[in-house]
Amino acid sequence: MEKTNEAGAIEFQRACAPAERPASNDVDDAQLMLDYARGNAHAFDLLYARHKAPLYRYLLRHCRDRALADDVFQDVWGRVIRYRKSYQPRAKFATFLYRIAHNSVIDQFRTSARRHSDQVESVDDNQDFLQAPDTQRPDFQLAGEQFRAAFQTALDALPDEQRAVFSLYEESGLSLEEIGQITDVGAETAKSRLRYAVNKLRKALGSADAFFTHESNSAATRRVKHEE
Amino acid sequence: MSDLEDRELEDYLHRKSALSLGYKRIYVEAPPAELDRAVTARARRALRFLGPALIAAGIAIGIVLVLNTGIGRIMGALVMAERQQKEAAEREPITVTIVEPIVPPRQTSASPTAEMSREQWLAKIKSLRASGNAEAANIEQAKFNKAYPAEQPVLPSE
Repeated sequence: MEKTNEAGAIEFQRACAPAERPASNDVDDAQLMLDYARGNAHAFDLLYARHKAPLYRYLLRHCRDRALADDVFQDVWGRVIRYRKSYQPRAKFATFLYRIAHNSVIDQFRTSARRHSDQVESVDDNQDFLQAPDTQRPDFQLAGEQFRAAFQTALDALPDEQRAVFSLYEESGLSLEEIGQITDVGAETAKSRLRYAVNKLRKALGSADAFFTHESNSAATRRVKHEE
Repeated sequence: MSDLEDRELEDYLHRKSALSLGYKRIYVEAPPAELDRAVTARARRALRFLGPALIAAGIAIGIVLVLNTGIGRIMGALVMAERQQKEAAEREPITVTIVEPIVPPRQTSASPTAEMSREQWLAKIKSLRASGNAEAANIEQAKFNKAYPAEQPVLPSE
């Protein structure tokens, strides 16, 4: 069962590869940033297109408030634009970007009174995932909504530091060491925070595991039939 | 933490766990179009002043270079002139010693002819005195004294 689930999970990932998580070429990212600093606006457009969605999702997960996430999103890119002249490719561009993002969120938390607001506009109202072609089936929609609600509740219940590390790991594609640098902790501390987050999420989503396990198996079945 | 939790974490770190897949499945948001427009417009605005700023910077640098070059040349010339002046002042003064030319004895009209030397002239004077012609002897003596001033003047006899 476990092997089936794992194989199904892999097939599920292949079949449902998210379109907005392009692989980031670190060398190209740094070169694009340098090109933009030299006056190439198109280089910025490419850089922005690569990183806008993962960064936006990270901010939504971390801020838990769409309006705040929008403000921080603009602030982050504003800083990237402002720092273009002093940018040096000592580390990955993603490390540079998410470091700015993390610090911006911290600054916003210190000044914003809406940090623990119950008026979260972000996740509960977001129905994007239901627009995919294979998700129009009623049973999937119901299961998906339940899973999403459960996931969001579990994510919101995490302490800020654990939620930040989990969101960074999911969206940025960075290593634990790099995430540690961004959050000013060592790699082991980042790993520990991630372990706690994963453990809590798995416990909270225990029954909901069946949702994507079923889907992974279905996706694998559909793929096999297609190949035949 | 149990071994199971460690394995679950390792599974998760490989980004193939059901938890990670489920997350990617349900969270697919993207920034709204108005945010995209705001950010990209801001990126372009930041470059808008780049051209004129570069031109202004180039002009300023050019003026500075020209001024530095011109001033440099002038200052260089002034420094050189001052240095030369100092060197000239520090040189030892050249003393000019005027040496009177060696003038041979003046050949006056009273001096004897080239044929009569000094000894002959003295002999003549002595002869005149011996012959009792004191007046002529005194005249010749005066001429001799004038011609040879360095000589011990011989006073005319009485």
